[in-house]
Amino acid sequence: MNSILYTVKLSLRSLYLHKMRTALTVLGIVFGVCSVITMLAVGKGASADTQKMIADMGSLNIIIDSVKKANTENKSKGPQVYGITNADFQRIEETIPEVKKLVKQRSYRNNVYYNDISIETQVIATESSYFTINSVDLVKGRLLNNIDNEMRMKVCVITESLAELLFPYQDPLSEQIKFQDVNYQVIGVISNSAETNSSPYTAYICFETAFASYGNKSVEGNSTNNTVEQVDISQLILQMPNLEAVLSASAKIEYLMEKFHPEKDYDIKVPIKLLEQAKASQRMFNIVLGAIAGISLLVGGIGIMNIMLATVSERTREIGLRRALGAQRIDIISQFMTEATVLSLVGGLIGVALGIILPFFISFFLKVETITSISSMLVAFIISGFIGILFGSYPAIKSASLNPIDALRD
Amino acid sequence: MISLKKIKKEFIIGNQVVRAIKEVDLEIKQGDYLAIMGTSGSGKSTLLNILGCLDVPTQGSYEIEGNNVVDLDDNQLSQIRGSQIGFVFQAYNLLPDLTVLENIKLPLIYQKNRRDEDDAEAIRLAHLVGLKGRLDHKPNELSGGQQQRVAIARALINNPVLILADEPTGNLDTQTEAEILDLFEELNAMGKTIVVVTHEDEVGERAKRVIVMRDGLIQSEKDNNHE
Repeated sequence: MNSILYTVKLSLRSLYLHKMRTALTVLGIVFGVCSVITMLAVGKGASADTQKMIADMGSLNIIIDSVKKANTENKSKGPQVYGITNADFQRIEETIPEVKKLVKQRSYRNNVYYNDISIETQVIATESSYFTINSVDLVKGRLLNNIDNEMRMKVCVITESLAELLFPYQDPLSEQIKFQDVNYQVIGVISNSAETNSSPYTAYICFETAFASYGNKSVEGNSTNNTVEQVDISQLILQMPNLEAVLSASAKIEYLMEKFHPEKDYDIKVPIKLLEQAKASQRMFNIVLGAIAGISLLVGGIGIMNIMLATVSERTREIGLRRALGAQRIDIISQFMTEATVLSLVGGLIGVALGIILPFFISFFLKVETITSISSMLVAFIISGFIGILFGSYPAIKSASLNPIDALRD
Repeated sequence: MISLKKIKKEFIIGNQVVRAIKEVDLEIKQGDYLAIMGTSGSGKSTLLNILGCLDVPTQGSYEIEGNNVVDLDDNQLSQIRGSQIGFVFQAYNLLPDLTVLENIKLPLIYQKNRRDEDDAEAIRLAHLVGLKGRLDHKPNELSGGQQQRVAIARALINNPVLILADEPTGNLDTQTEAEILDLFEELNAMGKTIVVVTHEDEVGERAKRVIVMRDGLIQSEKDNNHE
């Protein structure tokens, strides 16, 4: 034990005395270890991002969107017809009795008016359960409820950002906004949705109210360039009781929709499946990253071997002397092995330090989420140690096999 | 106490057998001061290597303190070198990164019962060879003669049976050579056994006994009378 400490001390000193050589040798390992940690941090951050996004969609949900097909654009005067129909809704309701919540929504994009202010807004006509599925924070007032819907009340809930724009000085709860010639009483303000694809300027009205007022047709776009679209339901969200139900229901829905919509004017999203796909691609990503990082560590190791071999021939006389002074082969081997290992561990340590710092910069400048894990640091550090032992062993054995007489004469 | 009997050493170079030592018998007693002389190719270097356990003879027996070293393996030979023999080289062979004190202590780390935590012996030897006040210097801060003194102290640290010096003054000027030879004489007077390999007559003169090698044989042997 004592002699190991002594060799470590000696090799540390020899590395310190040859700073330039040590720095250049260690560089490969430093970058190798640093890149392993950084890559894993970026990979993990990206996957956490995706997984969070998918989890926000609700892991027990099935989401069906109406999709306007680019090639269905008709030149005739009639409205564009596409998407989920009320018949689809009924079929789904009947085919999947185990569904916990079934929420339909019809969304519009057009201007809302308050006095002389007009703002382009996403208006979502939906039911009360929409708010439970997409958990929202109520800031003020109340949410839409079933009675509002059944009674076709002309009420709306708006987001905070929209409220600030429309009512900078007034209390929104006492005001009315106008959307497509219908006035809606503001009954609630919610915080902006965390959902990435929804606009911060959103107003929610009751599905039945909207249907009674506008039917299934809507005018999209601005006053000069607009189209009339005929869509029953823009989006349908099914909340299922458990994972098995999600999988079986999604298969049924796919079958039903395909049968009645051969032109595929819909899109079915199953977050739990997306999650699995994301995890699978993450695994692939990790393998690729690992391979790249492994190669850079390998290159670092070869750099160490190169320098150690040079060191051995440079220090032939020293080896001969040590042998003459009583060193056995194993002493020489352990000396060079220790040097190689210390070298790569020093590199590993610097690499870990850089690997902690670099992801911060990446997060800061590239606005990418990174998660540096202790385990990736440990793995990278331990691997760098092994690299040192592995690539130090050949030069070490070579050094010990020198005949002391020849080594001294060198 | 050191005895070589019917030592032969052959090398095979290519498909040719070179008989570096044809037959040598040699006895070295405790307290002896022997000079081995001869031209290059005479076999004196080979004899030195065998004496230093850096090489083993092809035939014959070599005993140090009654132990035959001919049949020992590499590790055992290392052990003998470390504990029984102190080497002094022409080029000093100090490690440039180590201080004087650390260089003197270097052989201790390869000993089974290591004593290298104890600086007292190394300091005593440094003083003995005349290196007072230079213990923390690096070899490149010393003169050639001082470096050779460090090497001599290093050779003494394990209290060896035999001090083996290979052209110890080959790199030194006449003045320094005389000082180093004075030191050898002092050490010999303290009872140390010394074997010097040299081709310089002045060095040979200072030894108690001189053997001259030629063509792998001892050509002549004489005692110097210093009285």
